Amino acid sequence: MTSVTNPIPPGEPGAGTAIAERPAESPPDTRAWVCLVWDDPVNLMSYVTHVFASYFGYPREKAERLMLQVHHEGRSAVASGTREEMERAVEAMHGFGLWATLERAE
Amino acid sequence: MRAFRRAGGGVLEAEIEEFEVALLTSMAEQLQQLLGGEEEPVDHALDAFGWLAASAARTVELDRSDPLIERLFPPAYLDDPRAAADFRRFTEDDARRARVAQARVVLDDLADTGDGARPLRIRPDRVEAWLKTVNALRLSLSVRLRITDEASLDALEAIGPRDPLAPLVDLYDWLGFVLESLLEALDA
Repeated sequence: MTSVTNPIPPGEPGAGTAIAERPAESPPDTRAWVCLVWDDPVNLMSYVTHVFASYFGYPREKAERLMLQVHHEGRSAVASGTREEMERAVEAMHGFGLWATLERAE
Repeated sequence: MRAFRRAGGGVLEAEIEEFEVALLTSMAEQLQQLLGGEEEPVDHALDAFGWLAASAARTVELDRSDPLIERLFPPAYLDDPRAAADFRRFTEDDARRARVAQARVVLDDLADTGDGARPLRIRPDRVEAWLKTVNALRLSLSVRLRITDEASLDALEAIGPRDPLAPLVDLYDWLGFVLESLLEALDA
């Protein structure tokens, strides 16, 4: 069995110091998030294309490609950005009756 | 109902039958009721506290046991129930009010036809409310018809004209025609 190296190098501040220096709030999450749209058997393909083009401002070809990806692969990441931006996008997709979720980009 | 066409000023126009006006009106009103209905205007004579109290009293609890509510307000996070609950708390009431207001746009435009005596005319700034509402009505029928996947959809397409569900399936197909026709006229 290989011994595990202690990841904390010696000479780090003690626990009390670390707590005192910890920011009051965790830093803002700057990692990328994605808005996923999921396939459903009800929404019309033309409607889904219209939603992607009109809400995200995508050219028709891109909107259609994303719609087909949803249809054939079951889901598609249709937008990415900060968590707040993707929450707004998901809220808008729900407003159009699309089934959408957000998650961290892989 | 005939297909929509583009009239002047970007208005979408279609002939509509009296019974179709009645049908769409009834469905849009039912949707509003399901979403808590329309509100009385705020009484501006109230002081700040009275206004707050009146607003709080108007908060609508949606019936989460209704699968249509789940369909119209689905979870935003798949693996994080707490984040999904937060999202719901912060967005649901605005989303609910928006849907009620969009149904109002549809109801007013339908009323302007005089029971189908005049063509249905949809101004450009009202098209989105129409698309969202007609789509929501389709979603609502899909829930009642238990359309959950391609197989259940195929099974419904195969039912005979005497099946008790046949009128609902016809209505579902008709709403699909209305929506498709709106989109085609919009892109024309």
